[in-house]
Amino acid sequence: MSYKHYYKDDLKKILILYGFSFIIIIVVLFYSFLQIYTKHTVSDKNKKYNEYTYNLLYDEIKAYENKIFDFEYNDTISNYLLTGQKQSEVYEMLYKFINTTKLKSVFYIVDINGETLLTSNYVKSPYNSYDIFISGLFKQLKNNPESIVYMNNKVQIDLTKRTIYSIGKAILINGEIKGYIVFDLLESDLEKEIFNNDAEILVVTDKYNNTIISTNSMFLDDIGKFVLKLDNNLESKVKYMDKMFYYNKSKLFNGTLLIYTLSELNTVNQLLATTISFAIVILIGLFIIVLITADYIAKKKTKSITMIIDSINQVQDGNFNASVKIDSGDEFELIGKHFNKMVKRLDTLIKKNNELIARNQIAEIKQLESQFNPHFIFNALETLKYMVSIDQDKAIEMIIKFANILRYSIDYKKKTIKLEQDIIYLNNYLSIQKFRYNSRLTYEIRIEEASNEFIVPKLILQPIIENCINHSYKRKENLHIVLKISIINNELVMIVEDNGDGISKIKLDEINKQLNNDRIESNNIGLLNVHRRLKLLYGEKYGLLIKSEENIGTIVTIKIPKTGDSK
Amino acid sequence: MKKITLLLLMLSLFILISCKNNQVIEKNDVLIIYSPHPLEFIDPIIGEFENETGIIVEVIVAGTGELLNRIESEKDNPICDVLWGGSLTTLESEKDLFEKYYSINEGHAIYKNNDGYITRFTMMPSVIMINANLIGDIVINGYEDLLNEKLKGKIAYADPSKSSSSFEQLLNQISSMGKGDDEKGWEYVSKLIYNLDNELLDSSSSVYNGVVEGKYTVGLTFEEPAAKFLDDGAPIKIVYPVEGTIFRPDGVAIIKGSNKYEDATKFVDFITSKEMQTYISVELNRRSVRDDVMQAENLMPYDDISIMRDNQNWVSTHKDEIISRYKNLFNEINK
Repeated sequence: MSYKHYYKDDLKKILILYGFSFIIIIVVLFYSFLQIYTKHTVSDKNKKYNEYTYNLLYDEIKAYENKIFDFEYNDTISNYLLTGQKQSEVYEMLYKFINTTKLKSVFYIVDINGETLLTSNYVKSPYNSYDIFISGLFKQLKNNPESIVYMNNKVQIDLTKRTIYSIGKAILINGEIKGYIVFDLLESDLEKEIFNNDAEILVVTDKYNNTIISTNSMFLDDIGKFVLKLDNNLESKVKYMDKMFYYNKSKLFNGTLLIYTLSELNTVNQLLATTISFAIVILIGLFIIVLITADYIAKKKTKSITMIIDSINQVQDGNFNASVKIDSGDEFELIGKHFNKMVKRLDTLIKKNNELIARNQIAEIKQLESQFNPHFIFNALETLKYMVSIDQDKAIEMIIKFANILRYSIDYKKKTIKLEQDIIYLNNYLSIQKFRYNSRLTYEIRIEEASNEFIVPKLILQPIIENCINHSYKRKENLHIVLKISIINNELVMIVEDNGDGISKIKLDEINKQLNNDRIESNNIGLLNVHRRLKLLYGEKYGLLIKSEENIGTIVTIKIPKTGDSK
Repeated sequence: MKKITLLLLMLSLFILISCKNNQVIEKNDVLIIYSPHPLEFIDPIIGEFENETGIIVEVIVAGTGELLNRIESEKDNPICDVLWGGSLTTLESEKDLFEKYYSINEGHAIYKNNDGYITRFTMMPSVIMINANLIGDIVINGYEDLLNEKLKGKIAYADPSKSSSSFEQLLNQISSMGKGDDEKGWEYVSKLIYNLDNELLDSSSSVYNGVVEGKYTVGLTFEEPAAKFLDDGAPIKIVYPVEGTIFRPDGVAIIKGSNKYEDATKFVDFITSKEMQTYISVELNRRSVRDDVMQAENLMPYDDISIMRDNQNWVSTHKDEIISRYKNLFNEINK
């Protein structure tokens, strides 16, 4: 028996499918999570850092800006510049202001001669000679008295203190410069505020790319300029020193200050790659595990089914001793038990049935054998009546032959017999018929020598010859019967030919139909009996083959397989 | 099913193991010192000590009051080995937390370790520190001048329960302004509290840093940090109050139950040695407790200071009382 597919394979397929889907979903989720997380860690943090720095610098520098204007128009300061009075009040105002800022600074008030009048710096002021007006911050302040000057201006105050950026303005009283106020932002305070323990790198530059402060000097050249030439994108990627960087750029005060935040991507990408290769290894491992376990589970779970199917196959082959032994503890155990019970009952049933069939066959054969046509007996006796008065010797001979046939036919001990023997009785029968029909009936029997030993059913040919005689004198005067017996392909082939009336096509069809039908209700009871006996004895393959043509004759062929001894 | 559970279990175990913290802090070989000294003061001395002895030191810096609280709470399982710093009066009141030790330099000490618990380290007289940029024309010679209306809210002073130098200031105020009558001294204290304008700082460092940064015009602190800033060129002035200054030593003590007693004694000997005391005096602006160490140049000579003494034993035993009176007074005035 073959199937399109096995339940075991289906189960395995399902297990693998589910296992794989599950793993793939997990991996996809894992990967998406990683992607989102990476995006978050890199770009979001970078952006936030940039925004934070932007806001910090904006707020602080704006505060300085506002305060510088306040101070310029402050009477105390003006008065101090003109008269030198109330220095401590000026100090107080300035101290108070810088103590409110996040980015602390050193303040200076310088007079028009370049001398520092007051400062929170307590080492020697760097702005303490007329030379400061030659270049740098104070030159700018002097040349742009109306506006606030921002300048990248690095001053080392002492070993640990450095100022990095100056915000200053000339103080105008009645349109005339009377002094300068400058706030120098302290590097340490700015560093503290922008310090970031994540991987982001911050660089703040002025519009000429001069670095004001940076958390990493890798992007600075020897004179402290920011080396990356970034296009106008505010957010993009750039390659530097064989490493990819993600960056955000923002402009403060129309580009007076530029804030760059950069995040190195190589580490992140490497991490991502490592994680993914790790995930793939795990994935493959899981696939293998799933494949193995699926096979194992499928085999284990279908073991019961395989056993049941084996047993069914055995039963189908006729082995009713087949039984299954399942102790899986599930429904299959129950099925197995019921199957065993069923097979046992089936076995008993079939045995009973077979016995019944055998008995029926025997009974039927016996009945069929015993059906000697009563017409024959009647006809024979009628002929005998005349014969007794005409030729007593012949009558006696006929009586003896008749008696022999009857005895032979009711001998129930033997169902089959050697052909040789059977032919003797057939001759007896024919000679009885010859007595009756005399010269109107002629016959010849041609038997191949080797056929004599063949075992045949008793009186199997007699009904056929009887049939020839009974149906042949309606339109014809004489009848010639030829019996040919030979062995072909190890089968005994017996052919009865006559030149009688023949059978019309319609009749022949009817007979053939009856032959194929098992019921014995017909006029042609003799032929059907023979047919039925052959079938019962030798199987469905055997039986009668009738060919006939009206007014020409009939040929009946019987084939008998070679069997053992006569019974 | 069981196998899957087992697999999951193993997986989670594996993750747990890989997540396990590998950092195990080796505490055993480190000498742990609690100190209220300024970082600039601690740094060079500890560096020198480590180089000299090979002992690794970990310093935890906080106000004296907080450090004593910590030592008290760790009494059963001490973390700290040495408490370095804190005025004598403050340390005396918590003597039972310390282990006895007489330094090998005791012979040269001007101020002696009488009962063995606290080795005297340096002198820390209370001073008035002034931001010269901000003081303007206000004249300050002593405590009386701090009651000036113009200074209201401009005086930096730390909570005496948190800072031992602040506690010393309080004692100095009571003694010098009371002149033998403590109640008169407290009268002054309450007037000064009024002029503080409801502001008490958390540590002595915010006092002297606040003055230098211009947040306050005047600060009540001790000599060493003020002298250091002066040395650096900061615009400040140090005033030794004309009413009198108490010269009280600060101390160093080994914590009871320390399992690094040996190393701790080495530290005490080291910081009281002639070399270190000289270094401290010359470079770090502190007055030495040794009789054989030269006076620091930039500190005012003893002769120019009005020196005063108080009943140190009484003060040590009544510390809690004094502090709670101050707190009540402060709360009452700033109700």
